[in-house]
Amino acid sequence: MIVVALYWITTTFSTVPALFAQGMQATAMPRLILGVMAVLTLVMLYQGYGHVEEDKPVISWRMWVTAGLLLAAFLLFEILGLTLTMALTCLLIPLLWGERHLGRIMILRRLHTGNDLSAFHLCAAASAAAGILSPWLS
Amino acid sequence: MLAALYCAGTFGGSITAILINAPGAPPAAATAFDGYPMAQRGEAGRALGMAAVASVIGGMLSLIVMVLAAPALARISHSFGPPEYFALAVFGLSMLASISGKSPVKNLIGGAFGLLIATVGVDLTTGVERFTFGVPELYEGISFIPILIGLFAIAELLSQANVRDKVLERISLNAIKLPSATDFKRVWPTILRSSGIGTFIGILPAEGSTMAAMIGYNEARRWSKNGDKFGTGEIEGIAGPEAANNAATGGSMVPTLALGIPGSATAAVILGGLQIHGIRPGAYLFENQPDLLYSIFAAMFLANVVFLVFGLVGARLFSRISLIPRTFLWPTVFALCVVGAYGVNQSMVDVMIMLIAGFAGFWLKRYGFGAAPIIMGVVLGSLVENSLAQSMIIFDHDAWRFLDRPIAIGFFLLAAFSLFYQPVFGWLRRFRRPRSAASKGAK
Repeated sequence: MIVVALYWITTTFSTVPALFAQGMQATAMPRLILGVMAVLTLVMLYQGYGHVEEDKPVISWRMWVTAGLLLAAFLLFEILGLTLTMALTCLLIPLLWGERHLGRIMILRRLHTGNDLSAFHLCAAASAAAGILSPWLS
Repeated sequence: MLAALYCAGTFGGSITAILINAPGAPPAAATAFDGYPMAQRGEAGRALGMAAVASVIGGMLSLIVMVLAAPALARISHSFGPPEYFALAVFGLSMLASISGKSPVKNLIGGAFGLLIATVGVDLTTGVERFTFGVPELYEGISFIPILIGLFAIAELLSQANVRDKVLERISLNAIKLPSATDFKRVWPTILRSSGIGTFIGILPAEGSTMAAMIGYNEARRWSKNGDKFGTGEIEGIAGPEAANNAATGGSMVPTLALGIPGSATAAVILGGLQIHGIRPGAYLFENQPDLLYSIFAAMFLANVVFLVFGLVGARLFSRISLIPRTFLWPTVFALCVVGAYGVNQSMVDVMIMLIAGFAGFWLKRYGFGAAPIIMGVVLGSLVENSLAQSMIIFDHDAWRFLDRPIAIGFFLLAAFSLFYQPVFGWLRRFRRPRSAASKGAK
């Protein structure tokens, strides 16, 4: 299904005259790869035919909430800035994963607040990532 | 730095494998088979000493091969044109069928998916946007770093959210001992054999330290007089995989530096690092930037010396890293991931790509698709497309003219062999079995 959807997307690509394309349109490579993927998928289905699928571990609610938390962190980066978002994330993930030593969590959060900020400024030189703290951090 | 990390990280994984039965890296998995039982017997120091020495010998021997073979291979690559590079890249991708993992087909699909990711952005020949969905940050393609971080680190973070805390017991460690003369006399053939195996497997595109260690372990068991005691704490069971996995580091750098085809998943990361800095491996690199090459060689040499010292002195301290509660470790990893992904282009789109790659990586892993083939595909993507496009121009759009190029034919044949040898041998085995069973029945 994914291969079909991606193939459909390639039909929306623009085309250029053959002279400019030097004989190979922009769609050629993606379609070639999708063709290979389709064939391999058929082989995989053939190999799996009649085989009982292994039981996979049940996905716990913690995974879903952690994924939501990471997504929320991404959305909050622009608003709260890196420092606050990371401090919140480092508070919530340990709590979510069952950590009950609040003292340790607070130490980790404080370490992150300082380290993330310095790492960001050192590696990314990104004052924009300060978010609502920018008046105090600039 | 990446090359040195590669060497040291390969050995580092054995410390936790021996002391807490939790390999710090996949190549150290085979070391745990005999390392942990030895540690349980109170011989952790002896096991760690052997791991360090075998690793250093394996690493050094493969470095010698690398220093000799890589320039020679680079000189050969002078005669390579786009068709040969295309065939070589196809061979590299075909080797994904035989790297570790449950399903060769899934590895190949992963590699193809990586190639597809590499097509995102504006096509350089036609100027047509591909899979950009109107996002300007994607016009130049998807950066390699966020995908790498997402597939490996974020996917693992989500996996960790899904598991309960494992209770790891750290075995007490008094003093690390260098191998005694008796031990060394017993294991030196194993070390030499595994070093050869590891170097050879490393040189093969896509095959990495994990496979080298597994084969090194199996060969050590096959040749040992005490093969039946493997798994209960045999010293050869440590020397074999450790020499092999470290030998694979030097071996895998040979095709990476000489041809631009990664010898392993980690070498693919190093290749990505070189590409980010605008360095194109191959003959050009050997002729025009020898300083860089010598610094890579020197870094790997130093790493081998330094990890011997650090491994022997600091093993007790380093093993504690694995005892850090995951509730504290993974938020820290997440913070570093965000900094790493954002830092490349200072773009939140890269952070988003990292998260998407992480979620995708989690589900792909669940269904048996590894991250390494995807990374290989991403790294080789531009080489495959550009060399194919250039080849088609050279051949005036007649693909049959690939058959005029002997080197390309050689690589295509090797690719066909690596793709089909397992199914063909499997079929032959199944074909022979009923016949032999029938002949026994007739008797």
